[in-house]
Amino acid sequence: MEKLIEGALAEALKRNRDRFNTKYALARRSVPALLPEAFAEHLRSTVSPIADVVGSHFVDCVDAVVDALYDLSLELVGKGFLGEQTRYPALLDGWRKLLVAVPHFLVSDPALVCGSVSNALYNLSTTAGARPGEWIKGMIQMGWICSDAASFLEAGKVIAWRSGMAHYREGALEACRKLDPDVARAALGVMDVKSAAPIDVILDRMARDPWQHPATVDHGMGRKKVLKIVSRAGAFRGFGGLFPAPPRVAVRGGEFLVFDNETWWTLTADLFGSTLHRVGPKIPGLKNEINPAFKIDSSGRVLKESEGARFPALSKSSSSASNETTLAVTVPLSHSVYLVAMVEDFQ
Amino acid sequence: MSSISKTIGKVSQSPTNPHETKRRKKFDVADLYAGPATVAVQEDARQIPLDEKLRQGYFWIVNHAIISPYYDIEFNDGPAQSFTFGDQKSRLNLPSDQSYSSFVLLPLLNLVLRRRCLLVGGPGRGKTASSILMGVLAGYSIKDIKRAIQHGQPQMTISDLLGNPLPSTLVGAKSMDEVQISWRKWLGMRIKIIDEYNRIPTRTQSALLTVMSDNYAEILDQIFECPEAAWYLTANDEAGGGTYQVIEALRDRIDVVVKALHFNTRFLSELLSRIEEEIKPEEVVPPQIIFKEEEIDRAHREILDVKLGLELRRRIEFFTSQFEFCDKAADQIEYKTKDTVKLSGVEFHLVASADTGKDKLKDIGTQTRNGLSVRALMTVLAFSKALSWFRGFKEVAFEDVRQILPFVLHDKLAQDSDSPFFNVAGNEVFRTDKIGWIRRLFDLSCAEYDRLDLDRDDPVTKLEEEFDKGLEGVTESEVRARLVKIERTLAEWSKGRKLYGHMFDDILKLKYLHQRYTNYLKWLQWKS
Repeated sequence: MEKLIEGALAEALKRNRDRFNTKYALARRSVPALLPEAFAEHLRSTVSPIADVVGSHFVDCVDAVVDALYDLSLELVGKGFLGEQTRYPALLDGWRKLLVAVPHFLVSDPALVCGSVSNALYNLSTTAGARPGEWIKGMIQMGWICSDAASFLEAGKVIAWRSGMAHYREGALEACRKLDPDVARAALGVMDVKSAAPIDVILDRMARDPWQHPATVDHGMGRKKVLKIVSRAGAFRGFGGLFPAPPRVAVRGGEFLVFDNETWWTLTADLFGSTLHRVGPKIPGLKNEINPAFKIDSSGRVLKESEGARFPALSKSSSSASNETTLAVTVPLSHSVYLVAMVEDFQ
Repeated sequence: MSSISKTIGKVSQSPTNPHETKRRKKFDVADLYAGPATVAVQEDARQIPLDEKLRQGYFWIVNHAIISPYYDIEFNDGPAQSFTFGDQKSRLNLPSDQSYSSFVLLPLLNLVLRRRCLLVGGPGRGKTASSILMGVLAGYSIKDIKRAIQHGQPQMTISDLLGNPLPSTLVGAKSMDEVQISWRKWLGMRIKIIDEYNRIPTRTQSALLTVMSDNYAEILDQIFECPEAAWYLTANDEAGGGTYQVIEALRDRIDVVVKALHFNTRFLSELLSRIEEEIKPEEVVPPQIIFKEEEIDRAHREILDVKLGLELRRRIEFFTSQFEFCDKAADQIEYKTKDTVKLSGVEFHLVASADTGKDKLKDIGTQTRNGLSVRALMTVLAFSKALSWFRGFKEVAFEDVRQILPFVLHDKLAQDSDSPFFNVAGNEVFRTDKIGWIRRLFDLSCAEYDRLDLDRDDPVTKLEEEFDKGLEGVTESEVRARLVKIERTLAEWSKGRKLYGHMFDDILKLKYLHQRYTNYLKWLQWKS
């Protein structure tokens, strides 16, 4: 037998029965797939726990929160983004784990907070290589540190970057500068506040070097750096990746461009991850720019200034391109782009 | 409308008049929070221009709330197709520009203008529901609005309408000042709804009139000052009849009349699903289209800033000047008005039917039993500006005036249905169709205005412009020259055998200018 909706949600629904019925009826018209059983189950299993948490701390805010969650549920369950049959399990996880953990932010602007969290998790879920689960964990932690919903959402941009959305790097660094320094450090994952460098120093160093870890930025002494393969971006389409054929790489204006025989992609990468963004079948006037910072020979030996290292996996490379901080290399038998950079040596 | 493709909580996407947008940077971290879920960002909502917000409100109402599939306020931005049907040549226009339903648009304009709107039509046509929606759009809860509706009924007393003295203070009071009144809550609201106002007893109507016209209520010498409010009155009987005859002063206070048109049976499925699914659109008005008090104030100011050009103003002047004049009403020209006849108590037709030699078909003044009040003229200007503002323009266009006039003058122009005009084949319908009749009146007036070529050759406008520059520094000889000019114009006109309404106002204006110059001339002579 189907379980009843109980608790704070049941009371809120009862109080505004006409309004909720009308909303459901109208939503059902435009989305016939919005089945009453599935929607009721979503309310019971996902919305009800959030309403209960809100009810136990902010009893006066239950109606407003339920109103916003109900509207978003109609929108998202109907289109398959939420509910038991969701195509985006991380989105459902976000409602079930994150929203119940931040009732204090949810009550300040339920539609904004819940809508933003939902959209962020959707974007993380649809970006290859991004880690939505990590974002949820990070945001739960930020829930204890941030003072209001605005800084919570601002910190969310930084956490998204840390969760693999490398293309948000520039905007996330900007967001960090707007945040309270302690919140910014926490968002960057620098938990040891006492030994950490000032936030401006951390951000400046990270802005200059995409492979600089925020927790190891010291007061200018610096550790020894060595050449390493820091990341592999992309994979064979048959295994869930994007490339149908081993790709080739080029660089223009410091930006890496990858061609897989069908499509050109922009590659963004840093220590938190890498993302690929479709450009199109052609890039008019593209010419690979030669950057003298890195050199690679057929044996896979890479040189950067006075530093050198040999990488057997990169021998007989099919293409390479570099900017000031990173060397991108492709090889004939791999569907990935290898990224080589100077990073701190911890060994 | 029956196949609603959007959810009811969504408003039409802004902008409704799209412009080119700036290119965004390649990867914007703000995109993280953009996706399938609608995020109502309050900051963005504040930045939406108010006319855009009202348009979103309009489209939400017509798409989701009120089944009013009519576009009777028509606009064209190019050639429009037209079809005629049947022997009576019933015409259907397919407007080529965005057109509107008067039943939804005019109450909305009334909301931001804070005027008095009468919704007329048979029972069950959504008059009260529409009024309630306006209350919700003004930020009130359904509960508050429903409780604030004053339902006209034959036993309604002044106390029912306004409030009661508190019994304790009434007993203990040594003077009237000490009596305290428990005022009814609706008096303090910015939306006032009077349902079936023609069922209110005459005495109570008088109390209502004070609130409507002077914005205060009075009981036992105690005064309650009401805030500026948008009024919505409903009536089943267009003529103002009902259980009680509506007092004329009350009817005169109504600024705009909107007809609730019939239910189009092709939309029965929509009605059926609303019944089956218990849909109550007023319960789910999107917050983005709800106006704060400050926003209504600001919208009102923006409307007043809309310009009305000279050429259009002249056409309005020409049109409105046609109705007051009545040649046989008096001896002295100033009193040759329909108002003189009315005040005399003489049967209007006895005077109106007297032969003045004018072509009664051509003279549109013969079609009415009255002229227009100052209040009516002010309302025409205010609503024309509001319509133009609603459409996103900074200056009133000809079509704005043409479309708004019938709704404003609906109860202001009393039709003389015995006028020969209505006996002409094809004009009989205008006895019952007041909207069409007033629009036709304006078209005829504009045609006459064009025939007289008054845009290019209007001696009164030239004299007005001269006078408006001021009298400071104008020499005696110049004043005399201007006086001669006025006299020559009058002499020229006096050669004609017929005097029409528009000439009546022009003649009186010339007399005014003549008198001002005469007084100034005397002052100049005394000074020298």
